[in-house]
Amino acid sequence: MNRSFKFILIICMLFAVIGASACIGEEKDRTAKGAGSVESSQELVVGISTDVSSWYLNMFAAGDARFVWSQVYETLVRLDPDLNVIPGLAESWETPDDGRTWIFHLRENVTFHDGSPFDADSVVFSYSNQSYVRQAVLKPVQSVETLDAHTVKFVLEKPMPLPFYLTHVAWPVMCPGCLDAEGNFVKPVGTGPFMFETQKKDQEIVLTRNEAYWGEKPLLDKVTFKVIPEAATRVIALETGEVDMVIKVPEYDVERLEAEEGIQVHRKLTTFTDFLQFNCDNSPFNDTRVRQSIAYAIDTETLVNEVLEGIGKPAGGRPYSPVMMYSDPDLETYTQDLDKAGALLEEAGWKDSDGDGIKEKGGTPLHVTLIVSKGVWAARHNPMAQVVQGTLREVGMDVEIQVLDEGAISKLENTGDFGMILRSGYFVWGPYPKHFFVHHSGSPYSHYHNETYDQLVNAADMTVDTQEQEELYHSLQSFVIEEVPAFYLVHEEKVVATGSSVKGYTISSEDPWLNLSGVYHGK
Amino acid sequence: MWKYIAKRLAMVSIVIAGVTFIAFSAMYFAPGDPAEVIALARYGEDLSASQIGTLREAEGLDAPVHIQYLIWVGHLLRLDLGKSLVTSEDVLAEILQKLPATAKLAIASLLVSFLIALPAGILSALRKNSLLDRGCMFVSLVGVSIPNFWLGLLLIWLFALTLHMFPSFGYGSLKHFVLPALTLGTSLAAVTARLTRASLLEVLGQEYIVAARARGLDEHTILFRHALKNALLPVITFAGMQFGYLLGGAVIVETIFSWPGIGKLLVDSIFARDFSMIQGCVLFIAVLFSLSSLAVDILYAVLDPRIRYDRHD
Amino acid sequence: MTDMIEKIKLTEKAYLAEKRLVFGEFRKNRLAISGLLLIAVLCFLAMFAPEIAPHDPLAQKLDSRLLSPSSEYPFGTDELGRCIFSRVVYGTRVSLGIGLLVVAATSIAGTVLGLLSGYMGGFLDEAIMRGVDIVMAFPNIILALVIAGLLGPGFSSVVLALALTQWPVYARLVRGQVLSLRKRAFVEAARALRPSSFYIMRKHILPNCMGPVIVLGTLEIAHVIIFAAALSFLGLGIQPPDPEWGSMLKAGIPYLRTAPQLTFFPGLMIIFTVFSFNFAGDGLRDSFGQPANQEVLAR
Repeated sequence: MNRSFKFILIICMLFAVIGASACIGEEKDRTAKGAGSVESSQELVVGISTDVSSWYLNMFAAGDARFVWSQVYETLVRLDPDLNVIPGLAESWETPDDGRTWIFHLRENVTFHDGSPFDADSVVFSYSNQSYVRQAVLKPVQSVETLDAHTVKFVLEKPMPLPFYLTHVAWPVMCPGCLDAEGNFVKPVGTGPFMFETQKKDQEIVLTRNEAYWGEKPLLDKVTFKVIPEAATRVIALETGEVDMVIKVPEYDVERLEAEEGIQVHRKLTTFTDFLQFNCDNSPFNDTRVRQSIAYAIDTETLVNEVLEGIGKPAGGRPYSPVMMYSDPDLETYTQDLDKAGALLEEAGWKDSDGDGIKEKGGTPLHVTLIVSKGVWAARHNPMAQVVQGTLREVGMDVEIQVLDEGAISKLENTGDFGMILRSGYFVWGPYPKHFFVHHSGSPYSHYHNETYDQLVNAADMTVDTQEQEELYHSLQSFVIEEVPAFYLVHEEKVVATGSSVKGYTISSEDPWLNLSGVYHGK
Repeated sequence: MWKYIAKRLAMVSIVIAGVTFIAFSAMYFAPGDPAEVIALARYGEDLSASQIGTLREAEGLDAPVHIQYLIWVGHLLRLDLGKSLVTSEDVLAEILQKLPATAKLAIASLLVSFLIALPAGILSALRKNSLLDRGCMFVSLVGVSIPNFWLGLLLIWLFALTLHMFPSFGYGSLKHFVLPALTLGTSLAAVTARLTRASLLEVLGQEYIVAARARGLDEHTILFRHALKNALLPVITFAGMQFGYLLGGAVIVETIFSWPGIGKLLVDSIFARDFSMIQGCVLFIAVLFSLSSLAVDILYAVLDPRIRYDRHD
Repeated sequence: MTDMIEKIKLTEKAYLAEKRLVFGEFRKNRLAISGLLLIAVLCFLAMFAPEIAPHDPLAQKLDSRLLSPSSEYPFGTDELGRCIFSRVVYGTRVSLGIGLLVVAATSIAGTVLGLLSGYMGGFLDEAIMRGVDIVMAFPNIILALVIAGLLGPGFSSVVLALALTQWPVYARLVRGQVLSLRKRAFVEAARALRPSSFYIMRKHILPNCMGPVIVLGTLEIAHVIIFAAALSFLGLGIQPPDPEWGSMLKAGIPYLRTAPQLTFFPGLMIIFTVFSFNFAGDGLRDSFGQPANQEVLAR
């Protein structure tokens, strides 16, 4: 064999081996071409941070999946951009017995994407006891029945303001045609303005216009959601024109983007409030004084003004965002007082006896962990966590930051293997403060047990009388300020940025409702 | 030679067995009951406690560790790497789905590295100790010292943010390849250039080249007809090591550029504490790397029987 | 008898001369000397960090965030108003600390294993070499990444992860050296004279392996520092607020556009450090007159 031939052979074989493996998934990549290149095609490319990992009602739509779901699926009850309850797939509803039974009158002449009619049966299908929402959130629902083709009755164990609960886009109405004859999920079929077209795992999801949409016809032909996990990369993609719209824009980019020609920044205060969740089952957070000390130590004004560039509202411990129902405007919140914070710790028995700046009790240093998610909120939470760490060090608490994936955090939360978790809004869709349940003993993730609190919560959620609700929710808020089962930091402002050609977008307070109905590409 | 190949095969089998052992032990780092973790990995999330109990008996998960290991290897032999603890998807299918992206990135980076390294290395060797040589070697030394994560960020800053020439993330068109392949390829080029130079210098010093010179053959012919092909043989077979370098570097480069490959899958799984996926990725990468080294070695043995393989004797 | 020993010494000396294992040569090598000088600068930075750094590397000053370099903040400030220069200087301690610890541990362990493997041969050799192969079957950073990931982030897990994965290079190198030394006349003669394996290994083989091990160790420090920074960059190494170059780089990504100094300076420092060790290692190799060994070169 000629030697140069051998040499070429080696190279060829090497490339062939790698090349062959490259071809395994090749055919899947064909659909990606031409994204966002032609403006006149009315295709919108949106940068989101996570892929849609589930499309069916048996699983919660985690991460940014809800932004995509809200294009494909719709709920019986909806919210307008300012969180007022408006009709969705149900035209009207009533409760004949103060919240124990709810009757929904469904919109007629609505069809699913597969052409089948939307009717009472599909509602029963969507809220069957197989659904995630029945198992996790709407446990008091006893039955869902059809009264006629377009009337549905929900029967509950106890009175509950059900319509508020049904606004969440993670439990929409799905078509029984999502499943095949064997009951396996095939593809998402909803009633929304856009229809599912294709999905490439961790890369993109393509939706096309639903020509038969019952409401205002969408102006866009096609919407492509690109999955870009890093917030910074997402913003860069907008600036370079790779995408037309990005959600969850990090605060530090807002000022620069606002100054940039052609880019529009949309901001709105949401129902979300970042908070420090304590594990009140274990030392040191089983002592109320330690939790109060943290509340006095952390300056939430600084967090907003210095870390988040003035975007958002300092909460100072207030659990309900000002845009939520029954948020108490006169609530007395915390302002920073480091002396008081230190004194409270000493009162709780933590003293710095060896002069290293860290307090001890019985020889144990005051060392706690603070878990921060690696996911969507990392961009805002990482600096916040470090400021919290720095501040708490000043009062003698040694904080160790752990960065973990959302799923891993849930597991630790479940087992109680944590000290503090920095959380974004939790259980806070819509204006109704359902989120009180987070600290209820009955919540699987709660690590706070207080009978008074539980009773207040039970009472508040049992009534449909607004006057009574208001009083109860006000006292719940005062309770949270007093007892600090969690310390609420910042009422989050949501930031969406759009490219120069994007017109007709209105931002809404309700986070997952990315309303694309009036959006189009213009000059 | 056949003896050599047989021996290499035997050794790779031992190595792969060891690799499976290391991968298996990863499960024992998982919090909670390893048996439960393994059961979940095998049958997906929706298992009740009683089901796990039944499974534990049925599958021998309460057996001693070494028996469990053997059962697990049995599953491996049937190409069953289990299911993701997070998404319940099949681990092997998931890895195979990510493989093309990583493989393509590796090829592109290899091309970039050869394009830079071969000319640089050859020129340096031909003008040994010249200013050019010193310059090239200095640059390559700086090159090996640049961490690829920093280079990646620098390239993003320059070409994506400032010049708007190439996309900073994603996967799909040819444009998406430019920055990741440059990042991964440049640092590889630094090593390859040095190797090319050293190898060519060695060949140029050998008798037959000296003899060729004495016969009055012109430098051009000597270089291209005689020296280069002999000098590049070690460079090419060094690709085994380069392949390993690429796989390792892919972890970082894929993370920076949101490249949907195996490296990013591994990092994501670590943060998600998805132990079965971590296990699968590690196992897959190690086996792939071992087999590719084996292939290169055997190929080398077949093509160049002159060389004795006593590296391991 | 004494005569014999003299003879052994002479042949060994001749061998040493052949290998040019002399520091005189090293002194002439400007490459190596400048490398060592650079390393000296780094050690100086690490030792006198508190004196050199103008600010506390952990002190947050939220009203002076993301400042450009100035006389007060030579490298500017980061996203929490910390002095980047001070953090970079203190980062020298972390990186050099990891590098030295890991290389000390792995070079000793690897050398001992390599000696045993090469000198004893047989089953022990097979076992150690297969162990080496198994660890080396995980390319590059992969195994360290997983170990650090499973152990959870922190200084000790980075050191452990890198130590557990970096020893095989030494074992392989030393074993190769031992095999070639064993055939040398002076070793053969010494063995005939005094059959204690331990004595021979200590007196004749080990000293002659030290050159390559030092070269490899120097290059390995560069390598380990990059790996450690990579682990931190991925979020699996040193955690905030501790000043580590890799994690500083990571924290700077969001500000790449507005404040590139956050990523620029720590990166430059990594390059400077790694370059210094590579430079010195290269110089050492040249002065030890070693051939361009593929394995050493590739590290």
